[in-house]
Amino acid sequence: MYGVLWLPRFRLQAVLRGESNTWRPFALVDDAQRKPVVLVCNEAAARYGIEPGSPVGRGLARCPELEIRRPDPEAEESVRRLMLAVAWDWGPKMEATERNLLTLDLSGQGEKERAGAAEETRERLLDQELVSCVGLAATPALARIAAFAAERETGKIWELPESRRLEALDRLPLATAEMDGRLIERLQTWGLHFLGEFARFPRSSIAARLGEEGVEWWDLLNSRDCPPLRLVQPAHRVEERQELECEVDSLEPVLFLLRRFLSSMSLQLRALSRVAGAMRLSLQLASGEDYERRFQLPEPTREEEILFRVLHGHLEQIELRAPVAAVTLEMVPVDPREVQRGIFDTALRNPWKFEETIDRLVGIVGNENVGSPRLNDSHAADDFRLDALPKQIEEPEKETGPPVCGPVLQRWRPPEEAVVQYRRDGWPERVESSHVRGWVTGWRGPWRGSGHWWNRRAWSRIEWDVEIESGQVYRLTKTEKRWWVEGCYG
Amino acid sequence: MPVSLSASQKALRLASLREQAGGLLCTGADLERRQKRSGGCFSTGLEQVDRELGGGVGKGAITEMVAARTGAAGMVASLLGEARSRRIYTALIDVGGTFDPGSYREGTLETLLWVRCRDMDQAVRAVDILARDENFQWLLLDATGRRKVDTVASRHWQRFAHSLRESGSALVVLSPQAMVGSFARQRIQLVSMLGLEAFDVSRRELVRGRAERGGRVAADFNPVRKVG
Repeated sequence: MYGVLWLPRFRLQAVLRGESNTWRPFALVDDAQRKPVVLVCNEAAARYGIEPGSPVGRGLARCPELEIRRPDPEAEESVRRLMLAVAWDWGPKMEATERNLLTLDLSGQGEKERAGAAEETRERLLDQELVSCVGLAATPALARIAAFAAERETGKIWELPESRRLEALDRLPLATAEMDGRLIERLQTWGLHFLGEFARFPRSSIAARLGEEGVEWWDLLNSRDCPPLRLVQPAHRVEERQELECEVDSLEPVLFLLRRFLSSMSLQLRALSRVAGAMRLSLQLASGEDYERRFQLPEPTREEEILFRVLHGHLEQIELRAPVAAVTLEMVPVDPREVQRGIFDTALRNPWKFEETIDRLVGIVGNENVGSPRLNDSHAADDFRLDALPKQIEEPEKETGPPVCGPVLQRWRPPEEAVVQYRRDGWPERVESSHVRGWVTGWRGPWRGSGHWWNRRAWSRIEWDVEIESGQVYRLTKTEKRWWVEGCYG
Repeated sequence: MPVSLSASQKALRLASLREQAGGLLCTGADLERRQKRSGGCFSTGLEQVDRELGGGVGKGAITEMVAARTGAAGMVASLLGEARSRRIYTALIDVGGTFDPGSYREGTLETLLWVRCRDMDQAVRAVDILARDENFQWLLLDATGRRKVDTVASRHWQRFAHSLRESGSALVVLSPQAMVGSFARQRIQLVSMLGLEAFDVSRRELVRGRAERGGRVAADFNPVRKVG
């Protein structure tokens, strides 16, 4: 058994995908010619007598509200990839017979399973705003005729069972099978108007009267022609691009487009049995500049909602210099990671939420103010960097080396400049700064330090820990000839 | 060949096994009792403070610790040490940026997310985001670095309390004066005065609350429960 998945009015559907008012009359026009003609139109336009090949001027005269669209090769390619991805879930033995028509070998699928899968495939394409027709028959050619019949009969799924093949063909006019016009005229002069009548005609008579062409059609209608399929696979590159008709300077249209991209890309990833390990967003600006950003995902996924939140969170934080003219989104497909976590392992409960939280915090306090502090390999004061928080917490290592002693410093950034009086023996006697004032009752120090003398970051300082009469302990620092209160202990 | 044991022999073997396991082995009833005892609380790592708080910092709630002069940095150190040993992700929302990474062993900071805020307004927005993220079980809002604390509208505390109930995280607010009002489930005042002698005492002893040297108390965290 074979199945054919066909998208009628493919080029127009590709262009109109995402538009809300598709009930209005639309026509796709080839304006490369001197006199533009209609390439394809929707049913609403056809009701006004507009048909493929008719001049656009005539179409507009008949239907002034006719909306004109131009072909969009990028949108067509996107729909083609999407169609392949959706069909791949139905059956992996698949031939891309035409850009808008796929033939699937469904041998091995039971009758109920086949019908259910066909319906599901149609619905998934409908979710992507694409109307499709499905034909099921014993040979690829008959399945193709069944798909065309499905559109004609508006059932959208048409099965041509082998046991009742001729009766089913009796309902189909000759034009359903895409026969040559002259052949149809000749058959009609014989009184044959339906495919079933032609298939019942004796083969030898067909051969004698119509020659090779007639025999080919006869064999095809009598299930005698079953060429092998040239199998294809969905493309491994998962990318969507859309040039915007009008440049946009607000976030909503871009988000709308990205959501549509993600919906389609998620299906493509599913067809590949892969997940997205990273995303690359590229916004082409009207000024000619490109804004690019790569998102390394904390855990590979193909969940639309999660991927959308990553993009949304980022786009909310940035400000573009010019309106957006085109949007490109690319996924990096990777194998789903299979991790068996240990019962005592501690990891982020929700890595997606975590990434979103960090992005939002960065938006509030800036990138330089969020992170996990790590000490740099130096003896300089307050020398640290902010790293990313680990995704998993290891068992704490046993402490080695001398124990950490003393109270914790509450560091004042920037330090407060102070005036320090000395005793004769060189110890500090009194401290005065804008917030600290008092006689020194006890001290520890001096602790001398210096470093980086070989470059411009050279530093040298003397530290004292002093207790003043109020009982509070402060850290005093002397750099060159100036004194500072660096913070208090507590 | 299996050997059948009498009830008293089984009890003896179990007791010996418990002894060998050094307290790691316990019955289901013991485990339940332990969980009930600590139920809904995170220990601060300071026995006295835990006692005053009725077991520790409440999960899914706000705990306020008022440190008028000192004590906040020591409390943060204790909480971070506890978080690291329990392998809990902690976020420190530091108003004024007074946290000093140099005062810690690097390993202690591994589970810490440090958010440096310029003012209370930034801090409130940061807490609002973090309180909804179930990844962070401890949120420490340290406002003691500011000499003058801006007031925070009660609607913010109300919202935080709601978010924390949902996420199950605990928010500890350290401030020089009480600011959370009735939205804090627990409130204590930290009264800690560490002299120069404390520099000779290991941090571990200091955070235990009381360290003695030569018969003299070198460090004393003496939390006092206040009304509220």
